[in-house]
Amino acid sequence: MVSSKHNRVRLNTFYGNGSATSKDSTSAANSNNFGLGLFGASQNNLVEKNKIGGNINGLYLGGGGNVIGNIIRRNVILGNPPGEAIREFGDSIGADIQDFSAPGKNTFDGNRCLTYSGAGPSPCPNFGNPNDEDAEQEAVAAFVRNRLASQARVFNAVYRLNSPFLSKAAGFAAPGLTRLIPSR
Amino acid sequence: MTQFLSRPLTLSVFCVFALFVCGARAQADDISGTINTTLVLHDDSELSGDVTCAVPLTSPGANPCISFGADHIKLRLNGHTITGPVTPPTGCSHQVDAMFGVGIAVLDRSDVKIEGPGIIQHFERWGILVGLTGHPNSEVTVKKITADHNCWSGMQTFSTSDSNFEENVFASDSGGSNGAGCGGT
Repeated sequence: MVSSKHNRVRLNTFYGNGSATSKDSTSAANSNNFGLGLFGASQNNLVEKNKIGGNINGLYLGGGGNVIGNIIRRNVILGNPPGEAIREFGDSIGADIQDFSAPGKNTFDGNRCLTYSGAGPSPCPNFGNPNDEDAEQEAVAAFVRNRLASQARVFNAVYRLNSPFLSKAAGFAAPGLTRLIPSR
Repeated sequence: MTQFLSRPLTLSVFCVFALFVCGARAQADDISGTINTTLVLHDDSELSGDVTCAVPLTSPGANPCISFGADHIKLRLNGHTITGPVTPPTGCSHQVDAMFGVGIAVLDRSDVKIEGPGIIQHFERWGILVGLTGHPNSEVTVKKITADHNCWSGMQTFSTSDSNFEENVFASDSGGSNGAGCGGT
């Protein structure tokens, strides 16, 4: 993404992109290929909940001082570069996050990543808080419980035997219901 | 007398409305087969089969297979595939090339949508090109698209704002960028 602003990049998958031999110069240690890249004056974008793995670089933030104000949160950025590329070209060929932007100008929050190359502060390694998943599952369970309870309240209000709804609905009053059961 | 006149009037209004609705649907393009010159979209369109792109590189800059020619329209891939002419790294574009092939181009547009599921693959530079310097876009949506095996990037955005890129897959792109900084997106 070049000089692109206020965009939302969410829930995408970036797998296996890039070539290790592509470089900005012959003396560059790292490849300039990536899963997702922000360059030029790319600002105030939201990069959220993406899966970025097996690329030469995972997330690449370009230099020049104008890649700023981007929020990068809750992504899984792992396995960049893949083992084969590391074996052939060394560790420096890429990283989960390759960051040439000015320090502190972009926000990293809650990403799962292992390797970072840049001026920092480094958001990696970060493999999550052990309580994060428990909390998330608990939140989902609470939501489901709350929804079931609401449904039960509505059911009781409508179908309980002395409900005003039932007594007013012809053929659905409580005595009528009993008559629908065939006698033996 | 008023009732007598109002019935034909109502019928006329209904017929005009029906024509308008049915006409808009009839204008929607169904796309499939081989594309030999850039297909410019002016209405909502969708793929009715796989597409093979054989657009020759004749114009300076991007030579897209499909291009958006109007705002407020969308292209649905309907589970089909758009395939370009190269297999990276063979046939890929160089940085010095004045003309280059792309799959779908969105230039100078607002409120347009490319919607999957569907695949865009094997193009000389970008599978999807969203904007160029001097050709900005806004409110572009690219959703549920798979872009793979494109020489430079699966999707490239330039000067694009307030857009949504969601639930896409970018895989095995940038296998022939010839030194250009490229990748999935």
